[in-house]
Amino acid sequence: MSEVYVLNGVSRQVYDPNSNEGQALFSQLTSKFPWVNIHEYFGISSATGHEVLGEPVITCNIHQAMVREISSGQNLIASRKFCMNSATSFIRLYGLFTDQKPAWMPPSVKVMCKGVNLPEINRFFPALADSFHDLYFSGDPDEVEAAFSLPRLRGEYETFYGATVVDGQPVRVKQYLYNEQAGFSDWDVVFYLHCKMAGRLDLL
Amino acid sequence: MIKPFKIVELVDRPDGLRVARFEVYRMDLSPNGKRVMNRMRAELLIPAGADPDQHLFQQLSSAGWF
Repeated sequence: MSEVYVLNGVSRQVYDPNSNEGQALFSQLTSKFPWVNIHEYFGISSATGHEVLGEPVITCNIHQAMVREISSGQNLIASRKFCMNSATSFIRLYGLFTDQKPAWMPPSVKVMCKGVNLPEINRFFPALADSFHDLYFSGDPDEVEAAFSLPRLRGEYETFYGATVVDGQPVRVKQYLYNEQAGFSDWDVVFYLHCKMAGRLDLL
Repeated sequence: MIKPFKIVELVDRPDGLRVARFEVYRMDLSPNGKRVMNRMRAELLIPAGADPDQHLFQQLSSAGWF
């Protein structure tokens, strides 16, 4: 397990697809989505209730070689989200955040990425996925916890945050906790790398 | 709209058919257990009036690409 995020007291964990937990989750997934190709992913999450979509969602992290194909090299990361009740799915592309920081973000926050939801050809898309996006950020934990009324939770190695935004306002904030350095844990390093590759060091 | 293929060129023919030149990709495991990206570049005839994306998707699905 390499990542834990906590939302409203519930934690979501990400597993290696080849682990026992990962294999069990893929079995669940393929029973509803027989077209899933396990080789495309390097991580699979436990199912977590999504407040906007109103159903449990499993997230699969897509390998970088696939991301380059999907996004023509324009995005940092991509995942595929599977909505387990409606048997719908979508791609989330995580790109560099180039907009103005929302006024409701605390001063110490640095927004790194914006995640947008996109449909795929001939796959059923949940209509509500069009109604929100996610912002991924770092910030002073004391300040962020106070601003969003979050519990005091810190990863031993690193802590980051994700806000789901509807009509310009945050409807939930996720706390991503990393107790050790691992594949998912260094958002700031990935952010720097992609800013540099994109010629956008001004975003740092 | 995300598609697991890219139509590089569509060429109209005098008989009303179109030629779609496309690339398709898929991630698989090689015999030694390493992930590899398999790619194919090919051409497909698109029937008159058919949507090229849909026709391609159906044909490639039938062939086991997706």
